[in-house]
Amino acid sequence: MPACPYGVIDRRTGGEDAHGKAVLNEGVAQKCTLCYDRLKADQTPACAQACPTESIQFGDVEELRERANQRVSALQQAGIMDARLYGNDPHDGVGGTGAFFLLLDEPEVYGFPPDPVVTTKDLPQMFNRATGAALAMLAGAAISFLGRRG
Amino acid sequence: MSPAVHRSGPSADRPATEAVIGYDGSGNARRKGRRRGRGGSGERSMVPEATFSSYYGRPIVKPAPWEHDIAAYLFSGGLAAGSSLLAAGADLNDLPALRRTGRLAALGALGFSMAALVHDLGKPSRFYNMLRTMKLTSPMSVGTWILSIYGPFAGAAAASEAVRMVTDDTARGPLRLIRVMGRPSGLMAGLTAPPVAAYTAVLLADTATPSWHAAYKELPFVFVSSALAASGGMGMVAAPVDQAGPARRMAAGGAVVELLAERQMERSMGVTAEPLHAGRAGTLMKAAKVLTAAGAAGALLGGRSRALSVLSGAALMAGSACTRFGVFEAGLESAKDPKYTVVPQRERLERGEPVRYHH
Repeated sequence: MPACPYGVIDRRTGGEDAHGKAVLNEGVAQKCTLCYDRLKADQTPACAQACPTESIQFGDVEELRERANQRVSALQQAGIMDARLYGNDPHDGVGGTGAFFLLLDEPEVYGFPPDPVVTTKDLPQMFNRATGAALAMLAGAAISFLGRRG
Repeated sequence: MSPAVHRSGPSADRPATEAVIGYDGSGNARRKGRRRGRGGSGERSMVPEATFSSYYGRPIVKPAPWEHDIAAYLFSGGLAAGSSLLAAGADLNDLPALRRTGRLAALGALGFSMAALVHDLGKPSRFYNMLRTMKLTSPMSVGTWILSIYGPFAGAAAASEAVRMVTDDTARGPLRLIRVMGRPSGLMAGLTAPPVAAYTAVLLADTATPSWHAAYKELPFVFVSSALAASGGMGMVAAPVDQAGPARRMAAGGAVVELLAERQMERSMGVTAEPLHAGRAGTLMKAAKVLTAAGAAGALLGGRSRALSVLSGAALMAGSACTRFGVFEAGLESAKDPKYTVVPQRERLERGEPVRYHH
């Protein structure tokens, strides 16, 4: 949860679902599965199917990118100069996402981080720093024993 | 959002989605920059925002769902690790009272740590579940393993100490075995202790929590030196003055390094250092500095006095605890204010240095 640069992942809160039954997996953090069960039955995710304006679209990501680029060009030609895609760069700080957005302003205006980074990107350096600190601690303790005992 | 973090700009009258953060930008400049960018190369179109925007001030990243048991564990884990080092050194240098103090304190602090972790996880079985996998990219998984390797050695060393308190050299059988296992266990506990104190820094830093992640270079050094200060302080409180020389040096050295490392950390954190000076975290960090500096002075100057020794040692332990709780709190606060997520990222984009990452 605290590692998600978008603040998306959350724990499921308790209570009852629409049918009055206690929710499953209370307190557990889960990710969107793109409605895996529906995909197996050749259907689109529920959110995409339910969206009345078809703002949520599901499909092959390369094809979606192409369509999105065309849409951005069209919007910009129509004078909406702030139109841009967010999350579509496969080499951004999180190494690309499977979902992206067409925005009409800076990402942070929508509550998105403008330059998100996957936290594990710096993990090798963190590991090195922590190892250095651990060795320094060992050395510091050893040095403490040089000199008078009392 | 705490008002103190907005010292650089207007706070109360901040408009809903935009706040000035100290740059001399205006709406015009924004639009101009964007137009220029699009005409040129694609990269430049991401350039400079003079203001920081957010969705009605709502947070972007989520604060860790951790309670104060985790902050307490940051302290007790460090205390356990430092105490094991103190005990191992005392064992090798023939300081039995200091050795006993160190081993027993290590077990006590370890027991507290385990209780805090199990409380955080919800039930004990989840700790065993953590041991069913080994995930090097998860500090929580690696930390569980580090603790599980260190713990039995620390426990065996403390058990040996307890048996030594009630038996003498003539003990036979299992009691004899526990007695003689004291030295190898204690030395292994000392060798495996430093990762216990250091990994918790990675546990915090390897998150999107702005004031933790931005501190990743110095935080391990702050934490291990804070651990040495606390455990040296523990030795000053509990061991007789005539065997506590190493504890005093460990305490003073740890305290000085902690103060320096913390200072360096704040310098390299940029805007995300602000939460360390605001609200409860600010109070805790200030208290940590005063207690740590006073304790170090007491260790250096008044160590031969039993009363001053106890006082200084207690101050150092309290100082270390304040540092851990302060860093913990500051991180949670930094996650609740979009400023600390947006501004450093905007600054990167402004410099033309968006983060690139290839799996």
